[in-house]
Amino acid sequence: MPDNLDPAMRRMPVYLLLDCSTSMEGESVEAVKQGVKYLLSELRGDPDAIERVWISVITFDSSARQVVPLTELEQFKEPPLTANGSTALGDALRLLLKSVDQEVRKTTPTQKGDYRPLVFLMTDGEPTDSWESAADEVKRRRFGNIIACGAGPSVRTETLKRITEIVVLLNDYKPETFKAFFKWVSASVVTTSQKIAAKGEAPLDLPAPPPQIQIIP
Amino acid sequence: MADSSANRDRESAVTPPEVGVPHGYLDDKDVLQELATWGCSKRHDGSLEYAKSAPRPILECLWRVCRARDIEREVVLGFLRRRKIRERGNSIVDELRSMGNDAQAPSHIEEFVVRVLESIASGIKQAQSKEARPIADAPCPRELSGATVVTPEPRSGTHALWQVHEPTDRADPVSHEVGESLPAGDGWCVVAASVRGKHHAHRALWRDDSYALGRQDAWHVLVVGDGAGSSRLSRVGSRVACDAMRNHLMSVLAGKAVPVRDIAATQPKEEDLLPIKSCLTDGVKIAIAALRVESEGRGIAFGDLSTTLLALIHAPWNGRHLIACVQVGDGAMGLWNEPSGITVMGQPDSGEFSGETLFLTSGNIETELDRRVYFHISKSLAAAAVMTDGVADDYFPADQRLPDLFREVLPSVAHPNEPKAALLEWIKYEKKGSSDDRTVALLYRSPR
Repeated sequence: MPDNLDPAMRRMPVYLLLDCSTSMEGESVEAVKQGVKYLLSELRGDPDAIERVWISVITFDSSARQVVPLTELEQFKEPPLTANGSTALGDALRLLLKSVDQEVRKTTPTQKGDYRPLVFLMTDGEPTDSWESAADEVKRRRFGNIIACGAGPSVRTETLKRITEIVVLLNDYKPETFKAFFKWVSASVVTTSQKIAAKGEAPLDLPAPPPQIQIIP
Repeated sequence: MADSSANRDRESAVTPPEVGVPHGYLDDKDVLQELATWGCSKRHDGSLEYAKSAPRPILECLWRVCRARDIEREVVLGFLRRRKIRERGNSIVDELRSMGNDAQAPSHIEEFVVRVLESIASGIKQAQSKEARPIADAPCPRELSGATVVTPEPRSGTHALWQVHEPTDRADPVSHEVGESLPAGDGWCVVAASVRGKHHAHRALWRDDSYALGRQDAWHVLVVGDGAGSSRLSRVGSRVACDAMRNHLMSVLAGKAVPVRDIAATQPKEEDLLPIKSCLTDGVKIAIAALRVESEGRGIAFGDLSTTLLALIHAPWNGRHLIACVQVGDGAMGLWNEPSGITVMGQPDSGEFSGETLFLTSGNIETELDRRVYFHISKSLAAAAVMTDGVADDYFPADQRLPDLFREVLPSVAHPNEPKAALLEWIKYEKKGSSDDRTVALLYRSPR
């Protein structure tokens, strides 16, 4: 954690967990890349986001890595994304927990805490590693909002539901669909950065999703 | 409005968005972004390009509707007046079709059209709307006809992206900025100022902060409250709570003074402070009760009025100064003692993370009020400040940074004629990341 951070700053940490397994190769991973670019440009058009949002990207294939540590929106550069490997979702979740513990600041008498982190997970298949206890831990932590997005036919909603209540499915793999998803992600970040949930209350409201996305009740 | 199909191909030039988009309209950028999600994008020459699957005629019609702002506003509002369209089995798209478009209309296209039209009417960008509202709940167009035209001029020095909008929910309006100073007397000045923050201005929301001031016998009363961002009518909540607390204190402090039993004493006896403590804890309970009555009277949820509450009272005592306070929620209170420095009063409620605090409406507040009351005896009090989170955040941590606040604000309000105007000017200071509503109530020695 950098020590030159203003103790009076409240950041909105956003973690993107992106599936880079082999099945994402080609159009899908390209679409995700474009989607991330789009998300950034949306956020950079919002004054609240510019002042508060910090983003980190964790990718996972046969293992997980934090390709971009939590970084201020203005400094953030999109990471290169390539698809190759299996789907180590458990590893990604463990890495998420570790990153949050290291990077997200809690309230102390001399330091303002960050807002509860937002997590967006995108995957197109079933996990290939041991993931259940990591999922339970993530759910237990009650981050700001955890949105799990399944793309394509191989995803099981039950898997995603174990991580979070908020599960969405994309209708298809088209670039516009991914773009619509990332646009919704950015609107969610913007909306969340507005709303302040009182202690222990329900998760923050999300804006209406576009038609290409189904919310799974 | 609907041109014939011969005109369709020509109707595509896009001029740059004007500064000062009229209230209630999406600007070009928003519409283009919406259209982009449907496979429609803008070429370099300004014309529109459609993906194969895009429902072209509907989109063109919508594009024209959004672009032409004079005549079409009435057309748009006309669509919304027919709110019961769905129930009668018609649809907005049928209306569009009847204007000369021959497209098929899958239901999701219809939803898109409806959403964009709702956005136009409500003046809130769809991408930033808080919740999906069915068309039956769209605001009545007649109420919009009095809506003010907005000039999105950012305050000087602010980030160019911050806009300033009038709230579209016209119920319970509150002024975007307000100040007050009590008439001079007894050698002390009492002043307050409250302004809507950049964030609420950008989102077309009201100021949620309130304050209340009072002078009763030798007592000074300073109260502030910050309505919860997630509560719909918290501006009403903070107003009701501040008034209830202030009115109660004015009433119970009348004729009440903490006795001086021994002129050599440097502080009052514990038992002599108990009645003062009760004044403050009772005040919190009365504020909570007032919120309940208000929510029941309006038929809304108690939580819709969530607010924090901070109250500080001061009176001279035996050549010194007695200050007492109570706090529920975030925000800060502090004393400026010359020459010894700052005394932080009270303690903000906070959670592990930002944006987590308690409110008067959080459960069980009434049962643990005793620990929220703080007393201090000051030998040489120069000033006291009570502030909501919007200011406290900028002077954090309080024990280190409140001296800066006093050093900055006291010279400004020392102006003998207009302390209220001076405080209102000071409170609009520019600071990155500081976009919340701001309220501060100040007590300070009258300048000579």
